[in-house]
Amino acid sequence: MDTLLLQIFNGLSVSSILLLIALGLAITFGLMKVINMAHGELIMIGAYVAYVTQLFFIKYVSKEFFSFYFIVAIPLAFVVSALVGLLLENVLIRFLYGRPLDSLLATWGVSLILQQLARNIFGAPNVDVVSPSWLNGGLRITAGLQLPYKRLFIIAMVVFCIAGVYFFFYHTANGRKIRAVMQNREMAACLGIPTRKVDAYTFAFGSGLAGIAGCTLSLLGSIGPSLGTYYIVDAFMVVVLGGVGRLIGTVAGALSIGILNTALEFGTTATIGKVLVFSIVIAFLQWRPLGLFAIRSRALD
Amino acid sequence: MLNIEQVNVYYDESIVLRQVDLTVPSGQVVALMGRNGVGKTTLLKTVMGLLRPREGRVVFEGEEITKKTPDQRARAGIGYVPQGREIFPQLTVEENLLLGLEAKRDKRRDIPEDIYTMFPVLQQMLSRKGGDLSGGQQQQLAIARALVSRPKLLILDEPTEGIQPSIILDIAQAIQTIRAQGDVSILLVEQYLDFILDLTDYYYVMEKGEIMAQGLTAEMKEENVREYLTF
Repeated sequence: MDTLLLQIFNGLSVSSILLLIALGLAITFGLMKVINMAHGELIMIGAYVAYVTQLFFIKYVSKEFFSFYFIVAIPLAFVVSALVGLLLENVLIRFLYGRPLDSLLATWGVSLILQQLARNIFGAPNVDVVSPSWLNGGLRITAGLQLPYKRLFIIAMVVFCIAGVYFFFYHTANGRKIRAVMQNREMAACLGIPTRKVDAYTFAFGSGLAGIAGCTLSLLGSIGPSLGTYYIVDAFMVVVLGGVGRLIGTVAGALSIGILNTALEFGTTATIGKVLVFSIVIAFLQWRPLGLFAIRSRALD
Repeated sequence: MLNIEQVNVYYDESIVLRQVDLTVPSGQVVALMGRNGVGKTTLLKTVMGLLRPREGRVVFEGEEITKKTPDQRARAGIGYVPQGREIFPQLTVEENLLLGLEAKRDKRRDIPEDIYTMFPVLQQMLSRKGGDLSGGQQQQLAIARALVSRPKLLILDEPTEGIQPSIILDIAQAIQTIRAQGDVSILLVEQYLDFILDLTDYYYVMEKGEIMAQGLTAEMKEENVREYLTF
């Protein structure tokens, strides 16, 4: 019984991590169709923001408040990654809309540049972020089962981010503008919506979400310049499996990959588990190339 | 209100509009007629800024807008109802209408009630997805979406195309209402001669990218115009 519960919890935990890293990509790739290979590096930037915030707190803030650095780091990570995304969109991506192969190569180049930049600033070895003390320990369910607070925090963070993204897209004027531009750019322009601005802010928003992901994931281990490369394939896999352009699809994609992964790792090894998951995903996409949730409408007749 | 002066538009190397001059006076309804493929939609897209003329000028309210982007023109007061309606299928009717308000110059962001007087069906459909509406309802939505921002010029591209007769009457009624109020000018592309006779003040007829005939609708000799409309 404990094993089953633990497996379910682990599955949810892995899903939440996948979802966190894929959420920004669901916007930049899913909605805007930009193949952004530098998404992993935007995650890395978020992680380093956590690290820098921590250094700042150690140096300038009294010890009793140290644990709060993480609360400061999360919005800061969003802002910094969003600004980097805004810059990236303005100097590069905007010339590459509708050119997926070119943008793939160009953003891959950007990803290498950002990695090297991180190496130059922070050094090649990994650095550690000390988790805030209130996230140490865990929630004891039964004698043999304890759920770590960090993992629970990540799940809560994902729920918060999804709710935020959902609210932003479906209940604010700016979200409405973004959806209009992504559905029919010319018509949106003819209604007076400045599409260039909307593109830039949408890309920045997706990038900012990657920053939150990186900041949150700094709880799980040390961070280094190549942090992003561990996540980028998983992130694309989640968005593609879920169905490009659908938020709910990304959630479903992350849940299925996460739960499948932990289930298949149980009894085999981590490597075999991953191979099996990717094989299943590839087989599934052969059968339904549009993913779990495809957009259907009669309006396009 | 709107002046198109000596406009030439090309698609790559082929010329689609030749030396076109067209004027929409303030508060009037102007019809633009012609067969398929003579350049009517191209001309409307040029007014809206979706296409750029190689030569010539587009002047709106005394100001040249030839180099302005579509969103700037929309905010300047041009409302556009394109061919095929182009409503946003995944957005609700209400969201479609709210997007129409983006072109408004003042910051008030509520949908004016008179839109529902004009098109009552929209009020019942507010929470439905735009893509779930019938063709006629989509057309009404597209016109309403262009009107909510109170444009000074309304551009309608074949509003009766593929629409059932009862809704054509509703649309004609709506144009009649706008015309009676007199504060919005309309440029109307139409192939259906009977539709324009009662609704418009002035007409232009195009053929092969050129204006072939024009005049007051009241003085129009049908046989002269029909020559350019029959197939």
